[in-house]
Amino acid sequence: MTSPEKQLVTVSEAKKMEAKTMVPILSVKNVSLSFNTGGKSFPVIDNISFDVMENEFVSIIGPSGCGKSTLLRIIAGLIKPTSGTVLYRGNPITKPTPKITMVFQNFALLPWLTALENVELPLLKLIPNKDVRRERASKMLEIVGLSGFENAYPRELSGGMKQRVGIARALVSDPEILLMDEPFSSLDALTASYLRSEITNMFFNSSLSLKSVIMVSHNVEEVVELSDRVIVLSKRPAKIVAEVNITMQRPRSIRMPMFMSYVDKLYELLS
Amino acid sequence: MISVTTILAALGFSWARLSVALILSTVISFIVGIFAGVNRKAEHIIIPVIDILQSIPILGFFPVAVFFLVTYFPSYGLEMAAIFLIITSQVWNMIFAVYESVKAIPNEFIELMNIYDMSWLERFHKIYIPASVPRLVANLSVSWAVGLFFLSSSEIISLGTTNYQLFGIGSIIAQIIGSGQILDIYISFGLLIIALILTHELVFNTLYNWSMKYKYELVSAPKPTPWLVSTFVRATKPFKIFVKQVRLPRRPLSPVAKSLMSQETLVPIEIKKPSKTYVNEIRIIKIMIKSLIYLILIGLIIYLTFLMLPALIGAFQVLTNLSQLLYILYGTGISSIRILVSVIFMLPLIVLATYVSLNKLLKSIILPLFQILASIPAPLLFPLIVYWLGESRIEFASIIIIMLGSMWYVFYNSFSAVESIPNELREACTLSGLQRFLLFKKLYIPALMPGLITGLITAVGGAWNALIVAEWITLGNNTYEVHAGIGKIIDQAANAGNFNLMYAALLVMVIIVVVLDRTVWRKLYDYVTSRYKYEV
Repeated sequence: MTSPEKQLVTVSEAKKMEAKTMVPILSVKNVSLSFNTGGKSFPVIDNISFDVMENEFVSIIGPSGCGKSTLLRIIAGLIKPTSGTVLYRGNPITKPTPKITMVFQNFALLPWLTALENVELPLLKLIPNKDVRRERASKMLEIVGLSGFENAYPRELSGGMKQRVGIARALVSDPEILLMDEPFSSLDALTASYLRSEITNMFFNSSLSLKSVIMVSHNVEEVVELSDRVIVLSKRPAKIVAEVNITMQRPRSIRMPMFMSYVDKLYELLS
Repeated sequence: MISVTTILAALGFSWARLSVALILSTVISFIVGIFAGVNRKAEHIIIPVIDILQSIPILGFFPVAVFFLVTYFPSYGLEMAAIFLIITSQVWNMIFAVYESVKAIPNEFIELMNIYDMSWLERFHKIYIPASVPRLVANLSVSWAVGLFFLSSSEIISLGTTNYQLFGIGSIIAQIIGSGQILDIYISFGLLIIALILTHELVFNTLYNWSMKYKYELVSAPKPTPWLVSTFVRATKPFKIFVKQVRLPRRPLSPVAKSLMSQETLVPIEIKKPSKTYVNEIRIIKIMIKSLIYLILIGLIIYLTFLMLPALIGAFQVLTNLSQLLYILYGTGISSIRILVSVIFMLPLIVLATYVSLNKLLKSIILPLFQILASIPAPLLFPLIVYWLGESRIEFASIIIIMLGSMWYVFYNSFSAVESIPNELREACTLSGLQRFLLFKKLYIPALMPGLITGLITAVGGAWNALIVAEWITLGNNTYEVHAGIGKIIDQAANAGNFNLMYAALLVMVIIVVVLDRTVWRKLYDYVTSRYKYEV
């Protein structure tokens, strides 16, 4: 099978080889977070550190409610950690930046804006010229496979299409790091599997500047299918239990002999 | 000088009236609301009728009600009229709360009831009443405030040469203000506010917390209810001490649950088939009840038409007189402008509502403050505001009274709309780099549109009512009045015993309010909800 997907994968593998000698694009350093309620402090995240390299797809899994989505929001600059820092290309993240964007579990599309206007949102500040902005946004809709749906409102789109708009919005500002918060969990199984199989293709499209992806998920099979590396968190307060490198070749399928052994291993680490 | 005990006694009398009215309203709303929610035919009749009734400015009808009830029941007609007025001010909203709760019961529950062949009584007791408790209880505190608004203006009324007066907080405060004793005014308002806070904390918050156990909503998609009590509860920390100590009653376990929990083996259940004669009896009883209901309804309609006919004829006599008609239309026009101005003044509240929702400190200050301000009945404040502003600024005072009687709906509905924006949407906008003006334009303004419109509809409905108390008032020997207005016409006509003019003005007002509601507001609401609502 000489699908373009396979070619892309080899390109990304080649990029990865050269990345090994480089500095990490993102470093999470000793990040802790605790909430204060009524004079008591509840630890949520307990001293987590890890690096993300260029061209790496990293997944974070853990028991539900362990704080993995919160960790993602700390990386995005939406929540300030109690202690520790997150470095993006060596600089600490103190507030959100268009270089690190996010895809949401429930899509987070503004219902009163069309698909195109939703994708345009991150460009309002970045590109003052309306025509240039429009064109860029519609190009991005084309990349995620939604050309022709520019003027559709979110309520007129199916779940899978909504998430494509969400992905287009996340990619439109030329980010280097994409954060995904359980991006497939509100889709039905079939739609989710389609989108998953297309996603690596979309992300490592040579016309994009995207370097790395960090995904939070509780679906072990999906994590094995997509990731280069999996970070397993404990239950609250979250600590890193293990890091698992997944070295299977792509495209991956559940029928590959290694696939299930990775799945079993991750389940074991989770329990 | 009026003693504190007199004021407390007056509060007690007013509170008793309000309680009786609220209990009656609750019973009525359970019966009518559940009936409309369960029976299709009833739904088609009841809901549109109530929809019209709730948009009618009831306060204008009060003189009519007093006139009739006092004629028929001279000894306690006035009490009945006051309670009747309170009920008509609050019951429609409560019926809707029950009706919508019943409509929102998941179909699985209905199927469950059918499978187990539950009787009517069981259905009421186990499903319909518990399902409507949360929204009804959430509605109680606003119903109390609305009731107080009407009560305070219903305790004194003069029809023609007769002055009617009920002993209560409304009449006492009017009397105090008439006497001009400033210290007494502040003492009476202070006691009123304390009574309001205590009622809120001891009764409504307790009830609210108790009602939460009946909540079964799986998706937390808060509908914009008139006043978001839950946010009050969370925001009013200092007052929460009382509530915490109240233990929630535990419901006893059902026999099925008990038998499941004990390790004993289950005894097989025999299903008894009802005998044929029993089924026939039930059918006959049902038919009898049905015909009885129809008879009562028809009788009621005939009776009401009979009652209303002279009023309608009188109204038409006035309206066919061109100068009288122009007089009424001019008053209506001026009043509409007054309402429009107060609506424009209310609009900045949406910005305040957004800031209050976003800022914890503001929330902890503004919410309890507004809660108290909102529950002080505007009619009682009118004389005080006239006193503060001076008689020459009566026009301004009247707009302030209209706003005090209605702006809370705009604020709280907008506030709860902003509060219910999903976190993901906020985060998506933050990550998109939207700030200040852009954030307002793209996120907050559209998100609060449905709340704003719901709030405005209720507020304008309240404003038409408020006109009756905001355009004309007598205190002691002084009369304060705006230069023209429909509320003033109604008040003066009632005062002078010119009932035909009053009926005519009421008729014009009702027609205008209902037509505006059906056309402008309904369309606006449909447009805004279809465009700005997010599905979860």
